[in-house]
Amino acid sequence: MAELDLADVPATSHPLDVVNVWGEDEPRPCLSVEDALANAPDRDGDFFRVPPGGAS
Amino acid sequence: MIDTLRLTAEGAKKLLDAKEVSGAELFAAYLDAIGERDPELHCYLHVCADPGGEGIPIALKDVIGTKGIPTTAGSRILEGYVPVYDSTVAARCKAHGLRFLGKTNTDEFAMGSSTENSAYGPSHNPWDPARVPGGSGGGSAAAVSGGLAPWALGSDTGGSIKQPSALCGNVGLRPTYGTVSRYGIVAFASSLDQVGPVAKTVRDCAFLYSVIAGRDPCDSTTVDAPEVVLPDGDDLKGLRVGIPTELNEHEAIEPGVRSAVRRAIDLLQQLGAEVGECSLPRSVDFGMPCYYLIAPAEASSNLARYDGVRYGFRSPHSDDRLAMYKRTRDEGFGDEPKRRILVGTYALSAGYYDAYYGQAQKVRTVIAREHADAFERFDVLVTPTSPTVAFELGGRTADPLAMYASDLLTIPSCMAGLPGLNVPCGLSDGLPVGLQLIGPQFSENVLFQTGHALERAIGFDFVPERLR
Repeated sequence: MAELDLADVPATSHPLDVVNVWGEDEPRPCLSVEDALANAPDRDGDFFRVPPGGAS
Repeated sequence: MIDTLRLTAEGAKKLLDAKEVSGAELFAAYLDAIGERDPELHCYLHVCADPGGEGIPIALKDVIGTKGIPTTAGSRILEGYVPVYDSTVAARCKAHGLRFLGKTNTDEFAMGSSTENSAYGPSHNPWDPARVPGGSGGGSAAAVSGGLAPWALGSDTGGSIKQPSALCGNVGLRPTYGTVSRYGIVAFASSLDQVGPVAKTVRDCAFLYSVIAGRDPCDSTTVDAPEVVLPDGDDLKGLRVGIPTELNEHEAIEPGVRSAVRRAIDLLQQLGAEVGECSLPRSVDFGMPCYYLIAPAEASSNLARYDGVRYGFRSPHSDDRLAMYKRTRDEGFGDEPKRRILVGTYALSAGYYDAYYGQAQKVRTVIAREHADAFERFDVLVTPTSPTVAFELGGRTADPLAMYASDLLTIPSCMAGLPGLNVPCGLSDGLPVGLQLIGPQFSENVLFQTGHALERAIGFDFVPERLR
């Protein structure tokens, strides 16, 4: 592909010709804390729990 | 006695409407078939109990999130994961009364062309269990062709619905990008992934597409799709059919595949279509390298979420956080996702971004323009779907590039966001050959009409010979 001269060709990041899609900023129901934590490998109360430390 | 090998979804609906069978009897017939043949075919990663009701049963590829039903995407890193919400397509199926038979096998994260990359072992082709069913959605395709589901949903990034449908003798649609919601689907490459139907007939395929298609507020890349017209009749008068030379005469195409597709093109002419040649000079040669930069680049970003913190597998072999991330990914991901994460991360890295990812995005424009030019003169394009019939298990696992070549002919139109329909068009050495119909964006109804007419003219028997 490097051999092709495409200096004037625009990039395609997305196959459809759509631009911004707006939605109303309204509160909607969302996952409960219990549901959000249901698949957690480990938890501490309402938090995900991970091992301590390690390099930042 | 319900013959699940022969029963179409349309046929099942007639039996249910006429009360000739009950919903419970129908569901039980598929569970019996699964009990009988799935030990050999291994289509399912999870089988469901009958949820009750009178709707038609359906199987879902295991990348489709289902509330309360395990969803693994064929990966160890999602072993034991049980979604707490339904994907939009699962919710739409339920709203239509469809009942889930189970979750079907897939290459890990839908990365592959044979299901051999599944962490849970491969599926087998009902036409010859020594051969692959194709992939990544080989479990769905094999389930439909083996009579273990009347129809199924798959997902397609570079051919994962069309290619297994070809290898198993099914009708499979990759819809126009944006017509089906990706909300709740395990992401692979977000600018390419599309969910679509796998069925025994074009009419079933069209109907299932009508169930899942449409704009979804939860996926802002979706758009309104034209209303689906169930195909009827077989007159193709005036239809302009283009035969792209590079996708029909590629050296990788087997002679038996080439001649079956050639015969189908003759039939299209007899049905009234006007057939002409066209050219997509750069789409085939550059489609593969373009896909294998863009898809891994997007995958490397999407798969970063598997960190052992919020859901899925966590390596037990570490007391240290950073080591936990590393070991979780090392132990949780198989070879193919690791390979693509490495390639994708490299292609996106500073200093290489423009030369690899940026250039690939420009090639994507070139491919889309070539197709748009062809659609100035033609309504549909016809090519083989897969260059070969189903290959033997293990035949391509040692060479990733040989495996990638399975999708040589399906990838170009995927890059352009175009819909593609696989229609079985005959046998070669006793194995199904698939023909690919490609149309402009939102042309699903034309593909259904063409595919339906062709299906009737060909008279393909979708029941595998060894099971008749």
